[in-house]
Amino acid sequence: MKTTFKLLAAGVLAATSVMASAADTPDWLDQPLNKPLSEIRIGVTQNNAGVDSYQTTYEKTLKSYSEELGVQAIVLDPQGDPARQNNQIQDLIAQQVDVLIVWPTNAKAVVPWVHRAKAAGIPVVITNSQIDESGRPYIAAFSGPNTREEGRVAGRMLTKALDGKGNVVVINGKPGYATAVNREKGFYDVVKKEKGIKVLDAQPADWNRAKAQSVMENFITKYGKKIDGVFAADDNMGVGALNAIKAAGLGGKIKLVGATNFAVGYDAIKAGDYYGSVVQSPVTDAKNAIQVAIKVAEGQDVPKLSYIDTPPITQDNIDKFKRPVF
Amino acid sequence: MKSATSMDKTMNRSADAPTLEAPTGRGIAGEALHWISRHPIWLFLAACVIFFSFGSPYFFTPFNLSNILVQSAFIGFLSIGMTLIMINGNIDLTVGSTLALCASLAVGLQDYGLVVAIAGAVAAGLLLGLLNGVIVVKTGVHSFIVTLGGLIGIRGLVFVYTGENSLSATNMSFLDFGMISFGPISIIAVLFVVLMLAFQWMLSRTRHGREAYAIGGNLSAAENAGVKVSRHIVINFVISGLMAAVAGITMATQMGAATPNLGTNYELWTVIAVVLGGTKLQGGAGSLWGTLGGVLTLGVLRNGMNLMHVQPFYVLVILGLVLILALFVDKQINKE
Amino acid sequence: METLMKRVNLPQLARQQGILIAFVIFLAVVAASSDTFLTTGNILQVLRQASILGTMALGVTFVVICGRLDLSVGSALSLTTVLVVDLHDKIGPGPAILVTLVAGLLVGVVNGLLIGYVRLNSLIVTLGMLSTLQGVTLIYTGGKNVSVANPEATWFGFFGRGHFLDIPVPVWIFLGGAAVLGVILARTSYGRQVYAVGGNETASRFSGVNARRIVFSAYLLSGLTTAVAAVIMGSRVMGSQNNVGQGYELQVLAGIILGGTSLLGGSGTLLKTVIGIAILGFIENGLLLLGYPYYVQWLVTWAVIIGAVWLDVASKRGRLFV
Repeated sequence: MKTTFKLLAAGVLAATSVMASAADTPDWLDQPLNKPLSEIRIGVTQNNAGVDSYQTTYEKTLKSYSEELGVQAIVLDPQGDPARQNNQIQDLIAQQVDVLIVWPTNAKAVVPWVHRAKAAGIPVVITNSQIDESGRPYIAAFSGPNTREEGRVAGRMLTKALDGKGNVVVINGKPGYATAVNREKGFYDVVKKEKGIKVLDAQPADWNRAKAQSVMENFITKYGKKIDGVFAADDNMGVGALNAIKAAGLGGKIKLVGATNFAVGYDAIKAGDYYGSVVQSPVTDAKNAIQVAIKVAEGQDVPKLSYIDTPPITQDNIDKFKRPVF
Repeated sequence: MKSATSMDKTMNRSADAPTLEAPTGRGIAGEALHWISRHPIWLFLAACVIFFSFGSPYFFTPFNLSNILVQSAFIGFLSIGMTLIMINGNIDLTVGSTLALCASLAVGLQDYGLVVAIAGAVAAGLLLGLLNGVIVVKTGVHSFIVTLGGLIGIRGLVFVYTGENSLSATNMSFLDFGMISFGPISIIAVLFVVLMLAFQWMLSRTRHGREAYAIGGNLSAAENAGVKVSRHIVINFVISGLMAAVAGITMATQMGAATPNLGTNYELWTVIAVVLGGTKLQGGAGSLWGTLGGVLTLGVLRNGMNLMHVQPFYVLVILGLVLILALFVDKQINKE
Repeated sequence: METLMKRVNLPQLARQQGILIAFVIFLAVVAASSDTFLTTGNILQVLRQASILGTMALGVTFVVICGRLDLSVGSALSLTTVLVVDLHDKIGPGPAILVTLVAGLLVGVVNGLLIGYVRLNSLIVTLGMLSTLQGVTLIYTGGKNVSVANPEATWFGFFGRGHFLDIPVPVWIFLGGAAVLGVILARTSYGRQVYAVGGNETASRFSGVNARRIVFSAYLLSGLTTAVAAVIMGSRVMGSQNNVGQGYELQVLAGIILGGTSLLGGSGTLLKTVIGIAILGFIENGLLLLGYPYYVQWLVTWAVIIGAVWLDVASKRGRLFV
């Protein structure tokens, strides 16, 4: 009886210690750790956290996920200014972090300081928005959406919605910003090949809903009933365009396609006002970035490009997706 | 007689243009105290430095202090020109947009060779400064309005030239320039300090410098004394344009790129730095020592708050309140 | 207009109303190239799009006439728009609007105290407030966007999207506000005091005007009209981001200056502000219809602002150049 009890006790002890060490190493870290997670310091410089809910949710996830894993994260925000972002990279190098996560405010402007970070022995993970080609040799990895492909996905959706024929207008994100540029290019990749579809005009609205509403109003003023479809580079702007369309009494006639499905976009798709969008979760985006960064800090091998899933969402498949939290 | 170039409604007149001082019996400590009372911003700067040194172990390191110098240098260049202009009783809101245009030219023209690119950028700064100055003195329109128009319009020029794109530097020496350093001190920081000293010398020891105070203090008296006011004002605007070019070019070497929205709001931060340094908006008073203090204070505040991980939303509030507080303290000091 | 009092002198009239004449020519040129430009629908649209900026400019006009500046209105617009949209679903549209108006007044109180009573420099104080209010807005929302959940189901939409007698409600608010405030400025002793303080503050005090209170009140108006503009904006978009008002402060000043009000204070009217704001709106719209990219509008604004004020000061001194 005593031996059985001892065996049982030993068994329980063994089992719990196995479970404990399994909890210490999350299953996405498939190799043993060089450094315990609690000693890893990640320096982050974002893009512009106050601008829209996506970026804010991203930041919140960065902080909460880091806390959950036990790593230290220093999160800085340059408010869209590339010069300030370089200053922040400098400041993070000064603090000798183990790995840097950079969300480039501008694809080209961050290259020299990313280079210097690498030279200082600090690996860099680029998140969400691609760095310029010239900077690729200096980074350890990219984690985020394939924004060019997102543009293509949106292009295919709109083509389908219009049955391959019609006039479209485009509302872009912030001029010069990599995601905006790539989505537009991806959209044109698909749409310019379609002989029946004509792009009437393209204007930026800086990811701003009120501005997108004005831009759409102006499009309607200029082109009136000629517009059959709209591509908005994110749903936040798309909903602004939708306001303008409805105010002009053209609701239902114009097909709207967006990208980065915000909660307001999700609701609009459900209501039938919006044709479709591209799912991109800031939570997945942030968690993926942290995971890649930790792997890099641990000296593990990572693929250079770590894309997150960005499937299309329309009224047909909307029930497969949860309502976005942002 | 109201001068055409000073808005005396928004400013309370206080004549404290520096005069040539006769030797006093103060002694070194007395001189130092007197200097500090003329430039109280340095006390505040010292307090900030002490505060952040305790707040973060990385603050008071050679690497970081050198970073602060470089980070401050760009607003620093702009503030040199702005100080001269404000002593005159004017203002230059175009500096941010001009910086962007010069940066774009310095990068975009590199296909024609580095010399052409730099020359083009410098020329643009000089020409725009000349344009601003000439419009101000010839039309009598207040510099606030002239440069407000310029702020909007020159940004338009930037977008016309870049077509909404960011431009990449192709010339390797251009990029390497930004990396030159003497020990931990970057060449850009050195350039900043050298220019600051040079212009302070000009302000305190040359006729042009003394005239600046005279014009800002009492325009008609200056005219009666034979000062060529128009020429002087235009020169200062040209200097401001040149400084914007220097800032734009050096910024581009640091980034290896120029973005069309570069320098947005920089004119506002420059005004803040200069005012923090003690230069009065109504003209007739100020010095580059004070401006240097103001520029460094802004740089230290931003860097320090970065290192102490202050949430960016709170940084905005703190900077705004510091500015208002500084004004308030300055008013109290000057009452006595 | 004052000129009608004197004998009408054509060259002088041309100089004094030069900006209006140039504007009319601009309208004609654009109308010739675009058949949608001068339609009622388009004109109403331009006025509607200008209403938010215009309503803000009404209050700021009082500040400028007092010889001061207000650069905080852009951030104040962000804060108040966020408030009205966020509180709409939490406490209902009516109370939300009330709180928003109070918030606008509070901003005015802070500015007014610092500038009117403590007598700090208005450019710097309102610059500081620009930064502070932006931070406050971000702290309030935690960086998130705010939305109204059911835009179709609320009477709140009336302010930004409604029509009355076929004219958009924002236009009624803008022009109606201009009319009411214009009467106050031109016909009441309060208005006269505002001019007096702007014209010569020391002298006005000897005449018994409480200059501090007048300046304070001007900032209250500026905050209030900004809050009203926020109600229009919130109602139109039914959502807000944190930086929605960024840049408006300079546009407001540009509009006031274009209309002919002097930054030195002591003169100007609300009619001038309305004209200046309308000119900005038509330039933007006209260039758009002509197919120019949005940044060309900035170049035109540059020339127009300087040109307009130049004509104005030139006519006052009698010669073109200094």
